[in-house]
Amino acid sequence: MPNHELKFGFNSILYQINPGAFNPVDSSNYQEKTFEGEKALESAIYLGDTYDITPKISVSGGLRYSLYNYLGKKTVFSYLQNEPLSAETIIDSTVYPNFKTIKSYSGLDIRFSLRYLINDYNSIKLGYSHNNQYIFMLTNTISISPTDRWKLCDPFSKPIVGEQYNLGYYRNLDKNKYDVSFEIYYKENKNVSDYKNGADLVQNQYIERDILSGNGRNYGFEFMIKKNTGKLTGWLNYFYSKSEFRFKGNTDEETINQGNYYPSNYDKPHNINIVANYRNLRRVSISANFVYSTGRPYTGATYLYSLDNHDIVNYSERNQLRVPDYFRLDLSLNIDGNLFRKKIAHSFWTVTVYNLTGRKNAYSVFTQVKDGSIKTYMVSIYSVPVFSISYNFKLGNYFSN
Amino acid sequence: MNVYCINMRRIIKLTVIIVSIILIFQSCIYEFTPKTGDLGNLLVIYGIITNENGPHEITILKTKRINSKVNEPVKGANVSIFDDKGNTVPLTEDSVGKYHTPETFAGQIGAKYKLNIELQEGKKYESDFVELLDVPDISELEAEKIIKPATGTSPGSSGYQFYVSTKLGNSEQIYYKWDVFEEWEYRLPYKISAYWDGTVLAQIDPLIPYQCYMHNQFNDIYISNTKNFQTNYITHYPLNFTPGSSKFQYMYGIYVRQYALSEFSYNYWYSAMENNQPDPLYSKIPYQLIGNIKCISNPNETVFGIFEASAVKSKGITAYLTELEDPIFPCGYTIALSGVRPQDLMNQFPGWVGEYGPQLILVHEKECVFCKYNGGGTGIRPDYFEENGLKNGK
Repeated sequence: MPNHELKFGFNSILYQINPGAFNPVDSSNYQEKTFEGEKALESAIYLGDTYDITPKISVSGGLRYSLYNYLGKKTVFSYLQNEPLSAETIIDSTVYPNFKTIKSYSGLDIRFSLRYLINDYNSIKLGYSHNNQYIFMLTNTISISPTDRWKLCDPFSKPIVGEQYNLGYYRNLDKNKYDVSFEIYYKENKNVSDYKNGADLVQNQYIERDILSGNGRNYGFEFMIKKNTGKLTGWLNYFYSKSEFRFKGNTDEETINQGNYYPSNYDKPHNINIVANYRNLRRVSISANFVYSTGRPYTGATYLYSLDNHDIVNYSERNQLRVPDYFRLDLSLNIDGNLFRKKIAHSFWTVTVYNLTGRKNAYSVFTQVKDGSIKTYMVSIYSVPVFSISYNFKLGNYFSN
Repeated sequence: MNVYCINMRRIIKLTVIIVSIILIFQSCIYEFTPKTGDLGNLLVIYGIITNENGPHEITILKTKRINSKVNEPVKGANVSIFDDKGNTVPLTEDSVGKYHTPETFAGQIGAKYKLNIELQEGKKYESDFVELLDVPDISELEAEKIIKPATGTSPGSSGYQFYVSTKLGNSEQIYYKWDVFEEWEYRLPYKISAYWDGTVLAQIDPLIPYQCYMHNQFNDIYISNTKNFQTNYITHYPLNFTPGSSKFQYMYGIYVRQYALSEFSYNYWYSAMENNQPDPLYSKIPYQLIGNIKCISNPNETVFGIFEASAVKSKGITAYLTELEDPIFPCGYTIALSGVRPQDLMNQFPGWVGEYGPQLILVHEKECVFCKYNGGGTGIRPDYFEENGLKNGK
């Protein structure tokens, strides 16, 4: 069809998640535990089209219908209605054989975007999408070492349904010497998951008892300027990005932060990225990469007091605190080999300093009570400048890709 | 190239790789001060009403510095307790931040009580109504001499492990809390019978006690429940372990006060225990502990602490270890006396006169004479320090 670009198809994904095992070392008193895995099949058919309505207006859209089946082999518990899921509210259990469907979900994904070329130098884009997600990651900001785990949607965790709106303005300046863009977005998610207060992150056989289902929202904007030509090239971008969750249940156990919105584990409002390349000579170039972002949120011990002669350590609200801001500056020097046209291979040396300023960026944070006060510590990896030298080569000459 | 050179090259290459990996992936742990700008100085309120005669105490503090145990008592508040029959009990501030009921006030089993506070600046706080639950008697306290094995953080030691068992409770008595106090006897070296003021030797009657008793409450939170039990009593629940020390030299005992908690209170103390003792992997999500007291003037204000009500039953048990008997060493600067007559004491500075074994002495230092100046003890022997104490364990 003229001015149309149709795409359609079918796909199918089999998910298999193995949460692992808990194996004590040497003569520890901990009991060895192996956890049941998860399995699911997601199949979908999709149809998309890009249509140039006029030379200035182009629209793109797509539909994707997905069918998701959560599969055995698995033991699934039934719980009392309208009660928090816990060992005390179990009423029954069912053992599903391998590949037997335990629970099915389906949904229609929609995407739509429109681009309007105001002229050769300006354009506007707007977009909308509605999608269903059947696998998600459970993260936390409290453990010293990573305990993130993938989780499939099951009888207790419904698919995450997201709706996103975005609008962007793009402009070329000075005959494409500079690109400038500005975008804003807003997204709402239903059925997002987070851990309950007091949840067990590591030895959790029945994770449905320790996670809650709620809502999320993400919004922000991005500004970028890019220089394409000259001895100095690169780009600078700043983006403001908020990511929040809200869990308001029928009981205190099913509610976080009194049911108010709070920063999610990924909430980093301010972000700056600068990439610069300077090439004064053909064979020598210098690159710099600067990254800054607001420290991510965490839950930490903040209050110490005594009640009836019992010392109490109390904590902030979920994710109320933030680790120190992240920033890092990397520098590299690239020296190319000779510029002969006829050669079998072209080599170049790269000398890099990663984290030039030796910034101690936090990898994780934990708190301890010592000498009657709360001490907060961060674990930092790459807390010193790291030098590296590499020798590289490619087939062809200086100009070959 | 010979084999030696090849091996050396491999060793050097491996060393460079390992050192590089160590340098690249080195991680360090640093202390830092988190930004706590959004955290305010919050009110901490605690009080418990029992069926014993007062005074019952309500404490009101304000957290002063984030991350520190330094908290500021709140003075000048208007504090009262209401019951579900419309009666009001006003409390008086006997010391800064501590508010007491009259001595004649005792809570009634089955009645419900609510705490009401108004601060000087006009803010009002209120607790939920809490029912004063009855509690069964303590059936038995046990003291077992054991050798506690060494752990990663502490050496092994021998001492006494104490246990508590309750009598059968009714269907409402499911959740329990115990406050455990330790008391022990220590002795001053001299049996003082007189005081020389430089001119007059005055007999002291009654004698200044040389047997002193220290009193200390354990900070640990001891709670349990019979929720999944077929019969409603607790047996052999472990309380504190006291390692062998000079505390056991003469007499050592623990005194246990047993309370019945509501489910809310039990969950509160259970959460406090979890927050206080994060496991080594920090593998549980910690959370802010909120009690049953709210700010009526500003519902968004966070208030810490809890108001409780319970009947109390108590019991004590003693134990001592003969192998820890030590000789009593002299104290202070003493002067041996040949007799106890004013003429024997002429030209001596004021002091206390007493016996040190067969010897008569004069001693000047208060801490060698009075319990309260020597370790802060008292001369009051606990009631349960009878001859039912266990000698050298079971």
